[in-house]
Amino acid sequence: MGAGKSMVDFRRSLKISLVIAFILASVPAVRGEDRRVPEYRLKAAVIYNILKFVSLPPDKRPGNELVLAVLGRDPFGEDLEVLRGKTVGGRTIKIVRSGNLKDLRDGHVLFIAPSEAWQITDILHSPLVRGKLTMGDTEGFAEKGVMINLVVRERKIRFQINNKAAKREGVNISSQLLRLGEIVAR
Amino acid sequence: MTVKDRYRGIIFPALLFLSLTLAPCPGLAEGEKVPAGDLTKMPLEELLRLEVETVTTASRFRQPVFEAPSSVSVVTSADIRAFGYRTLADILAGVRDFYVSYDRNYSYLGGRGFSRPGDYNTRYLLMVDGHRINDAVYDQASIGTDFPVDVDLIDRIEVIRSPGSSLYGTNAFLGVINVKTKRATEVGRFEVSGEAGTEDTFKGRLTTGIPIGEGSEIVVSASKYRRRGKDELYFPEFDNQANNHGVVRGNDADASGQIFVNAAWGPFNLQGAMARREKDIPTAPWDTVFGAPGTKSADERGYVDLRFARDLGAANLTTRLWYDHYRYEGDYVFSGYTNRDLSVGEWWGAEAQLTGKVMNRHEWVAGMEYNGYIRQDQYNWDDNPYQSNLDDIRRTYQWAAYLSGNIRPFRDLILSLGARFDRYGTFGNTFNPRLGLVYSFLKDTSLKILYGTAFRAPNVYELYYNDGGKTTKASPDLKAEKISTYEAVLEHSFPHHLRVAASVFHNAIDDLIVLIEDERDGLLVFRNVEKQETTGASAEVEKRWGKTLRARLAYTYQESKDKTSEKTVVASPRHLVKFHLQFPLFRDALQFSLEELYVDSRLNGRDRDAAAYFVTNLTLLCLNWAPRLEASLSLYDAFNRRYEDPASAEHRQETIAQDGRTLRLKLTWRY
Repeated sequence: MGAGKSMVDFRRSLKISLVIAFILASVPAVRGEDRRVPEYRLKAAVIYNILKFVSLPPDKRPGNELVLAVLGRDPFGEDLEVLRGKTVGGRTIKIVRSGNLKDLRDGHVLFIAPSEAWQITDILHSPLVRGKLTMGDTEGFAEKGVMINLVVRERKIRFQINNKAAKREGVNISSQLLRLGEIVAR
Repeated sequence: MTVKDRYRGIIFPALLFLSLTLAPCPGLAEGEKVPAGDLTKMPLEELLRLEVETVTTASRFRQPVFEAPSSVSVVTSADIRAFGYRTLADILAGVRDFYVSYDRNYSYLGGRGFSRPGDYNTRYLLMVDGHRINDAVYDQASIGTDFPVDVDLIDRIEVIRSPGSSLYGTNAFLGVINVKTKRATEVGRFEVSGEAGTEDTFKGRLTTGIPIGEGSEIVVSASKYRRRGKDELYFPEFDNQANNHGVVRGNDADASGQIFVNAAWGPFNLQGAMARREKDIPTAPWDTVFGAPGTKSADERGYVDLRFARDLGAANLTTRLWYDHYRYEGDYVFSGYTNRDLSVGEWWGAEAQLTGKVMNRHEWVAGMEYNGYIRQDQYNWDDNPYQSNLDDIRRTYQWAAYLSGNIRPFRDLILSLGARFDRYGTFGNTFNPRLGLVYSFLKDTSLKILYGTAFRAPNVYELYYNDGGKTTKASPDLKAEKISTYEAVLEHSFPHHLRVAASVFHNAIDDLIVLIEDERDGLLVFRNVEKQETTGASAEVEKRWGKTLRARLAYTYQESKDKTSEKTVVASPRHLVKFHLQFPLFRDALQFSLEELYVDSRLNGRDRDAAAYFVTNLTLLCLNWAPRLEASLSLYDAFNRRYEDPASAEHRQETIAQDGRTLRLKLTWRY
């Protein structure tokens, strides 16, 4: 076969690289960080971790679900789906999405998408957000009263905490989380 | 010393250097493994140390798909695994508006009514992590087994259906395809993958991904592929006594090897790739001897790309420096002698780009780029007796500056403006603006009105290829090809994971470079002669139920006219239908995927058109049935339709038969 013959040199190169790959693989396991993760894949993971450090007001409804409601145009796409079915404090995460707050009344956590920035004040004043943990990822949301707001600073995710808003709704944010976040209002 | 030797001289010491510098770093180590792919398993403190991706293809800055000033499709690594895609060609064939043909040498991409058998995909810009893959001699965007990066290393592919010259310059004429590779945690510490398939197809891959410390990591991968190909191929055009009744035996082998390295170190990122692919050509193009072994092509592509990214406060600065290599060897067996082609491209380049935001809402990007083409050489000679037909040595340069931005005058309106100026050493200047309006007039609906212009610079093959006046002459006065595109896109997300996207488009191409016969001397020559217009519409509906059950249906209608002759354009199907279904059979562990592709009949300007076809591809994907093991079984062209693709003019065949039913088993073990 013609194509095979002159591959000899290349094969030798491959061999060298395989040896190098093995050398690299034998380097002792190193803990470290990945670079350049898709933004919303990372934000989804951060949200999941944050939920572990937050206790929500007691829920009178039956069932053992934690409903994560996304209001507005969902910026996560597939990346939020990894949270579906995972558990936080013994509760299984369920994800619902809608452009209408009325459809999300069962949500325990309300993530307000950037598309809703124009009506953020109205949303936060709505009786439908009572008792919910509000989250967002838009500059200025925390100041307006969103309890936990994710922002990107120097390519890294940071979160702002409006603890005043959280306390008002009976949402308890652990001191561990308060230490890692940027406090906008106590 | 051959070019290949020189390459080994650069890449391997670099690899060794990296492995040696990185190896003695276990001071940072604490012995805990980073979970491959699943970020949710990492503690919060560590997540806060990761960096987010900030730039995407449509605008050169990060934005959600529904805000991008173009129609964008994204294919992810999960899709690639689920549908058993083997090459970039397989992937693109499944994307709305696109279709792929294969002439048993290269794969050709068609889209939005434009495709030319044998055009080397020069009207698409293909990038890997923002690095241009189109070569510097033929402008070829290699999408078959000649694509330099293993598809298993792809994290996601962004396919932009509109021109991108206002940001990326030449080749971004009909679309931009940006392949993003996996990071270390997505690869896993150590990964071995093996494939076996019908027609004696084998592939092996070895990959390692090592996160080293904050912002530092390395991915190294090597792959080897070989396929003996069809034992027997029948071409009715050659069905006579002299040509073994149209039957070719053997002569269809395909072999390739790839090496890929990506190393990130704080603000630096170094990527290197090297690939070589050889293909035996069984179709006897250019009147070579039918059935004789030895007619083949070889393509070699390599690059090193060093990137530096910094946050300057008011803006983000990205600078890049690269060196590229391309080599093509073609052997054509004629009776009594062999004709050989050799083309070599060597070039380097640099780019600086700034992105920022004004008043926290108007995004902008500005940049400059330079390419210095050191070698763009084309040789052609006959062996035995030796006779040189072409010995053309060129070097040239190109530079460009661009500015683009998203202005948000009102709450739900984005005005996207951009322009790029390119200066070419060969043909002069070109200026390409674009204008887009993205209006979200309902909560989950966006309407995009887009206008764009683009160009494709004539490549050195079109400018200077000649064989000393025997059949072909050079055409050094060629201008750039031009396109204007008009498009309206409507995207809407319904509740319950139902998403709809629809587009209406009109493309007008002018000064298309075509190989014609000069009436004065009877020689073939490239000229800017053709005008072509395409009008069409396409729509896509996607529905998701839970995590793994998904269905997607896409339909495209397109009509293309050659405005010089008022005839329908060759190789352009009027209807395209695509259906994709992913179905969980046993929880998350066993998944079934179905791909149905319909391509309407395609004219080829000769007697026999390529008939319409329906092809079915099936994949069974099995995750974790043994620890760390992933297995998949794929059946391509399950009903053995053996469809045919239109052949380009150098073939005596009017259409070229495809593989028919093939089977592949793939196993991946991840440590």
